[in-house]
Amino acid sequence: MTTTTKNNELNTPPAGAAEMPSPKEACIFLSDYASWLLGCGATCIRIEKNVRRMAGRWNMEPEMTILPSHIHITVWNRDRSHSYSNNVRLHHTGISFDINTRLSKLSWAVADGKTSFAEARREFEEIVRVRPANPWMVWLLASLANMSFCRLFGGDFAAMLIVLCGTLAGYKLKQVMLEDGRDVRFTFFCCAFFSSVIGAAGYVFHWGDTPEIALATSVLYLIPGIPYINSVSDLLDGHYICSFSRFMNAAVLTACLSAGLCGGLLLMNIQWL
Amino acid sequence: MNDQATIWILTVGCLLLIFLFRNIQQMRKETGHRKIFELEQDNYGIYDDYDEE
Repeated sequence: MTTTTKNNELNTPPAGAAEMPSPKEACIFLSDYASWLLGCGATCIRIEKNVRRMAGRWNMEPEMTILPSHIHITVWNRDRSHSYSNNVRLHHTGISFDINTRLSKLSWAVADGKTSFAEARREFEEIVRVRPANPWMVWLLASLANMSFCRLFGGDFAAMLIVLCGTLAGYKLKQVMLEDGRDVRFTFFCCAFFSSVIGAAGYVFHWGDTPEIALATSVLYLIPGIPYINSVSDLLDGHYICSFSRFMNAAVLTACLSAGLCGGLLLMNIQWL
Repeated sequence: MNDQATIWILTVGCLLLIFLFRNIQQMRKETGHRKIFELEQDNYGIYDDYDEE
């Protein structure tokens, strides 16, 4: 009964049908939308749901293939008489929860009929034009968060202070190197190296009672947690290619981080075994 | 001061030098030849007016 009602609802053109986009317009918009969503760190299931939600409102059926760095979308009209396909590269925007949330809200606004196609396009342009969060604020907050990690793992005040300094220096270096367009793997290596050397201050100058916690937590801010979580989410959803790609990206970064940490430990002659 | 402390100070000093040079580079990029050139362009207009007077 519910299925029948739902099908009837889908077959009935929604109010404001005059503003309905053509399959071509819808496909171009949805492919741009999906590439931004993939670029800002959304999982495959979220991308599929959001795109379907909006296409359903416009009385269309999307079929999509999500690859690690491309999205292929075909949009059909309801009677399957006309379709349009588009293949787009993902936008390398960096992980942004702000863009992610705003794009999801946009999809709900479209699905609820609060936003027409023209308005949705305008709003999308505004969302993607948003500047990233203030780098100075991110720098400070990430450092404070890493310092809190040190406390959570049982570090004392001296260890927390060391971790704060190590993260401030390492995170600044990360921002500077990425801004200059350096390779992200090399950046992770350098940041982990310098952060671990600063984190070893507890051992070198005998500050505090928990120098091992300061050293271990000094590089935690570099762990690519979101790609790992997204990889598991994609795996559960059956998007194995994306899942594997995300996992390998995260694993390579973790390996670079580990190499930097080992370099720091070797330089400071700290015996960890 | 032992060797470990010396290496630590040298490494952290190296990092600070990187930041210092980077800041100098940034500052030169923002207030370097381009700015002087723009100022010259502005002044050119002023001299033109002066000559006319």
